[in-house]
Amino acid sequence: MPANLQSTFDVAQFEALLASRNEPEWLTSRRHEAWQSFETAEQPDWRRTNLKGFNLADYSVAEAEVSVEFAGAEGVTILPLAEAIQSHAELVQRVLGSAVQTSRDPYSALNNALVNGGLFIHVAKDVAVEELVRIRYHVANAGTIVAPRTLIVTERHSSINVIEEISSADFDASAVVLTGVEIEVGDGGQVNFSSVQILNSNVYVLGSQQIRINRDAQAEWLNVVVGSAVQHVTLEANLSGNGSSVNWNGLLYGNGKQNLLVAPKLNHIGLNTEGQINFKTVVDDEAYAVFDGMVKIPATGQGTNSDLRENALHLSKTSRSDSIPGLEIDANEVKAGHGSTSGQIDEEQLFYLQSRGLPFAEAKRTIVLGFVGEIIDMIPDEAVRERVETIVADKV
Amino acid sequence: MSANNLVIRNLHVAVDGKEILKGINLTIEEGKIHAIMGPNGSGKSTLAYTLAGHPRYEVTEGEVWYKGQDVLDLEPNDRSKLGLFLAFQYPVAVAGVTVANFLRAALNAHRAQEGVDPKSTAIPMAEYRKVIKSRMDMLEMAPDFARRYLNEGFSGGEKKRLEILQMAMLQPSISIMDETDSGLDIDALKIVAEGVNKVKTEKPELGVLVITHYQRLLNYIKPDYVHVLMNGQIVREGGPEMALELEEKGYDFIREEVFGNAS
Repeated sequence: MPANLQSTFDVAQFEALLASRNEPEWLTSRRHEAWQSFETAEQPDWRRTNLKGFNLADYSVAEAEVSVEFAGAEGVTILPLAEAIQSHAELVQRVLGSAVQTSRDPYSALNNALVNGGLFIHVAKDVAVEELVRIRYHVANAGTIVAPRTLIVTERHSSINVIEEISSADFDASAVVLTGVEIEVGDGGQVNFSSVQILNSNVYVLGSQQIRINRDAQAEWLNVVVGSAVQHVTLEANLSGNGSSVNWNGLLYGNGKQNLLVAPKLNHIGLNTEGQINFKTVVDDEAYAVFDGMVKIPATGQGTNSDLRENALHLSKTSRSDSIPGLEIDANEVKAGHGSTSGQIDEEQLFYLQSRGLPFAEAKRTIVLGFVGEIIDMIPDEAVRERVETIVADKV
Repeated sequence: MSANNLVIRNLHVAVDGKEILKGINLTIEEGKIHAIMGPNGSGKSTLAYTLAGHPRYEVTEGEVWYKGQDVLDLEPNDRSKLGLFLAFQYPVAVAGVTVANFLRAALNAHRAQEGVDPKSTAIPMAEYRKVIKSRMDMLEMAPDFARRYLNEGFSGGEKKRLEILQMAMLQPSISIMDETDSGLDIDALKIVAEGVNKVKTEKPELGVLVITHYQRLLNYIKPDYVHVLMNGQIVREGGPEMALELEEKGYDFIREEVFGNAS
């Protein structure tokens, strides 16, 4: 691994990207800052993410194909990020970079230097959007590096339901997706956000997602990760407003040589906030999955009610998973629980199903599909859910 | 002797290397209700699990014959297809698997034939809906029961009723009820016993093995024969009156008669 990442990625690509855009000064200067940070940053000490053989020199900058399905509604603005930079400069400036933080690591810095493509969603105050907004980023070609970013800002007492799918063509060489999701939920409003990652098993995914939840607002957050070769994604729910809440579910399903990591952080910043995390992990073959969770309750977080659950299922002897449920509490009037389990398929469950006539393999399959089904059933779009079900059915 | 009797000969079973069953001889007759009674630790559940094929129970000696097959050679699922059913003492929860989907999978497994496309033998959805509805109606179960996950968050009574529903759906020819009465109040017990009797009325050739510690279940499921299991052996056999005698006198008098005063 080269000590200096800059040597692995050609500055000419960055300059070409800048030259192709006519962006406001603030953004150009942010990109420059991010690039400089990338150039000088040390390789991060990611012991649980296998970047052996990963070389940024192998990739050239491209844009992910973006598609949006939404009939439209009054008070809802959905724009390509490039347009929103001009039309909603103030909002974009505030939210862009809240999840993907240049100072976090060189890949986050590169993400901010290269951010291209992506969407901006804005909901005006008092607007409740019934229809599901379906967005999809698709990586068409191997050898590319894409950096799509999703920004969602809702004003007070508004609500929206968004699903983001990240997919790719079925190519054999690798590609890189630098992801970013940055959401701000206005006072008293609600955002339901589902992120579904079904990239082919040669793609690298590095990125961050963050939801900031303001006063008395709620979020339903779903993270489904079944694709990619290597994923390293930081997730952050900031319960910033008093009385805010998040209900957060997720699934990691790795097989083959997949190395999937999520690092969910739940920050109970406001008074009387509520958060539930419930993630499930399945690993098979030689896969390695990591749940690096953290619940933080600073001194401001009195009246917090927090719960973190993570359950992992190991289907082979050579698969591994690490669960690191962290808890940091600096407030005294709080309720915080956490628990994680990991193990093989329960022999008693297997026997129970077999005793009703199911052959061993079908009994095993039924148990695994049931284990992940609780999460997959939460995917709000039927077509996406079916794509995930097909992938999972192939894995079991 | 009918091939439709289940015949257990000299059955020895060990768990973790320790012998629990020490030579059981027992014939469960077609269409008859047999009760096995015995104190805790006598080997009652071991017998139930062994007949169903739980991998933890190691048969060291003996044989079990049913419908011309050595049951002990069969996988648990093949025993089920042969007509054996075990109503569990502690039914197992399986998250994410609904009762309806599971029962359909179980029915289809029963209908599957080797070398035949399972799609062609699977029960059509409309027919399945009709069957499960009629069975649930018979057992007076609310429709939302079918949409719940298998035993997940079920009360003791609900778990036992689900066992009876499974039995009613799979239509076994031998049903082993392992301490079905445990953990049930008298109302729940009556409902469960009634369910068993309904299934039995519909299918008179059903042989039943009721395993119980107490006599009270036998007030509702009337046995033709009572067998007393103690220390891994059948030590007494008789008619229904024996259950009442045991209820009255406890197990100690038999223990003394069989094993002397050693205990």
